Amino acid sequence: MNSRKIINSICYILIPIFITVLCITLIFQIYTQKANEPKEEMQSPYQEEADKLIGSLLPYNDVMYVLIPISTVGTILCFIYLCSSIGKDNKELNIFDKIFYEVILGVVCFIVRISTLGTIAILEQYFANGTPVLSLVLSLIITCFLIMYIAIMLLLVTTIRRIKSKNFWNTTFIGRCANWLWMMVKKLWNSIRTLFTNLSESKKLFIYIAIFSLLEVLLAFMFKYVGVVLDILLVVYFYNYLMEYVKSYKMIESKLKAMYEGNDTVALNSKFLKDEFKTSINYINDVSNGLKSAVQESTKSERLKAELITNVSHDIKTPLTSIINYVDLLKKEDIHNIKAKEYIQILDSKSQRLKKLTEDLVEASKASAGAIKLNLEKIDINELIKQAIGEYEDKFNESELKVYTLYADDNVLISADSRYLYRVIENLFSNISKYALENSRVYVEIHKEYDKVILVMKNVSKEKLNVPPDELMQRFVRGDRSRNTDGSGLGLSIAQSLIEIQGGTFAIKIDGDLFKVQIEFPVQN
Amino acid sequence: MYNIVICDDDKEIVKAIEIYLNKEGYNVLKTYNGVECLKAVKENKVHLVLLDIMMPIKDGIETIKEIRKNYAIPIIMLSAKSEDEDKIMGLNLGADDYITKPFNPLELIARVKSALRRYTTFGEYKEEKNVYRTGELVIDDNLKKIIVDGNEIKLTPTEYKILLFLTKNKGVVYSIKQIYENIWEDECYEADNIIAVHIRHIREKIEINPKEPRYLKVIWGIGYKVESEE
Repeated sequence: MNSRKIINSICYILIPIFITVLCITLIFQIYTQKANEPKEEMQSPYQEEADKLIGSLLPYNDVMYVLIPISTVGTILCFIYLCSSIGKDNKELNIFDKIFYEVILGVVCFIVRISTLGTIAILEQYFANGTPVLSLVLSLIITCFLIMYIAIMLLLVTTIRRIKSKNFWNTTFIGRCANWLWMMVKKLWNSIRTLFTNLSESKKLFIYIAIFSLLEVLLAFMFKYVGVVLDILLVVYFYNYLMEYVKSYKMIESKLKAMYEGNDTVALNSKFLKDEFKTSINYINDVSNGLKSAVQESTKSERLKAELITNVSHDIKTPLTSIINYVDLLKKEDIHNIKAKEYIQILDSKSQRLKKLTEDLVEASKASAGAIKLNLEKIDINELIKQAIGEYEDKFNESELKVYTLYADDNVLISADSRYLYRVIENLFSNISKYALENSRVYVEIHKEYDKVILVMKNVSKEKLNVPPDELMQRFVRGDRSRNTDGSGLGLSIAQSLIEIQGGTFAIKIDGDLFKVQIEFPVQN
Repeated sequence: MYNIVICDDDKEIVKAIEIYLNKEGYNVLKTYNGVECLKAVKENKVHLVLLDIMMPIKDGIETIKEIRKNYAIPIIMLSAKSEDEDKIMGLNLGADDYITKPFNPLELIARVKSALRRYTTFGEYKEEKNVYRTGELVIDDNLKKIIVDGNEIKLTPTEYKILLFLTKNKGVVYSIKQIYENIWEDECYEADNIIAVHIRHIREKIEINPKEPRYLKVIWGIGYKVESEE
């Protein structure tokens, strides 16, 4: 610590000595060179005095040659040492170091300026008048130089200290101002940003548009053609900006569509969408997950139900086979008792009914559980209805029903499983033959409307229809509620399920006694 | 005198079938599981097997596989399983027919007869001119006679024409319009359901169960065809 201080002090002293030596040797060199040139008219009366002084130094000419590099190197070394040594021990800034750098720089510049001016003035005075004594002149000049030296060294020291403590920028006035300004800008920016993030996206968009419109107007006024180019860029930017929204919305839409169609598998990733859709996406994903699990649950339970019903029906069918067979055998026995015969007749019809009921039950549960393997093919609905009417012609005749048909003009192809579609038509025709008013007209019409085929069946009911259409399509509900008539009450339910799993729609309308079924399928071409 | 093996774990069903078959003059061997059934087939000269699927000890599937290793006798499956897959599996394993419980006794007998007839008269038919045949349906156009399972069937002239046309072109599906134009050799305007009604009448006459026809099949929404061979 102390040794460093001592070396520092030595350096401080050495530097001016080296410089002085350097100056003197240089002056001497210049002067001796000038002395060798042809002499001009003497201007100064002190030429002689100077010559005498130089002459006294002449014998040391060789030494002076050596002194130039030594003093130069010495000065540089001292400077380098000082630069590295200053501020090593004490990194704290003293009061002097905290003064604005610009002030110190100004003062130092001022001192240096004054000193140089002073020196020049003294020298001019000396050479012009020659009155003052040389020693006085020299001492004055040396004083000036010393002041200059001290000022410069102070500047050097404080500069190095400031740099080393990494506070140089902060101790300058400009730096302070810049820092302050930077802070202000930062604060302003932050407040704008918080304000902006809290704004709704529509308001943000409004601000964007406002700013850009302003920019555009300014640009248009300022530069004629550059404005147009920038204008185009702005339009492109806004187009992209808006397209991102459209894209996000499209993704949401496709997700909703998938949910609607029931083949929704992938959750929406909010990463690829605009921020303001994020909450909606979360809601949609939640709803979709809920829906999926609900659908899974219900299909699972429907399937279990269908399986259970199938298994139970197997177990019912075996004893039922015996009942039917032995009733049949009984019928063939020679029984004379009329009552016994009547009872057997009842047993026969009821066992047949039970058979039909078990079959329908299995079919209904399977159809509503969707546990049916479809074999979809293109079929002509006109042909199907013609065939079906052919099958039911005698039953319609029995009930004295007149069937009026209206077919679509050309062949109308739809995609369906023909067996299951016929099953539906069969159910409906069977209902008509059972429940339609005798001697009434039945209308079966096929229309083609744009991309749809509409099949309508209309008939007048025998009994008063006191059940709403929705309820009619439920299982085990029949129009007459008394359940006296033949049938399982599953026909319409099966029909609806079968049509729906084939991709069609099934609707029932009741208007007074008019019973109307409407089936729609998309046209296939 | 044909020997028929009945195999079902429900004794009452076996007994009922026995009564029906006895009335028709068949000799019945009663068995109640697959093992007994195989034994009966091995020890007797059996002409037909009626086989239930779900049985204890050895089920119908295993039994039919065993029988098919050594015998070509007709096997009719008898099951409460009415699913298409079950039927297809049974037929693929080598069953000749598949009847679902509860069955109509008359239908059962008709199917047994048909299966026996096919088995016993196999290869008896000669190729004759103007005689068309598919399975047990024979149309002799020389005599204008139709024979199904050995019985002559009476059809109206139109029905005869339709059936003949479809049998001549067996395996091909014809729409109502095509059938009309081929039979009446006239443009079809308002054929509507005349053809469909005729077809139903034909089915009612030639088929054991018109709802599940063996020969004259309805391809819903497309047309009709006569099955090419069984």
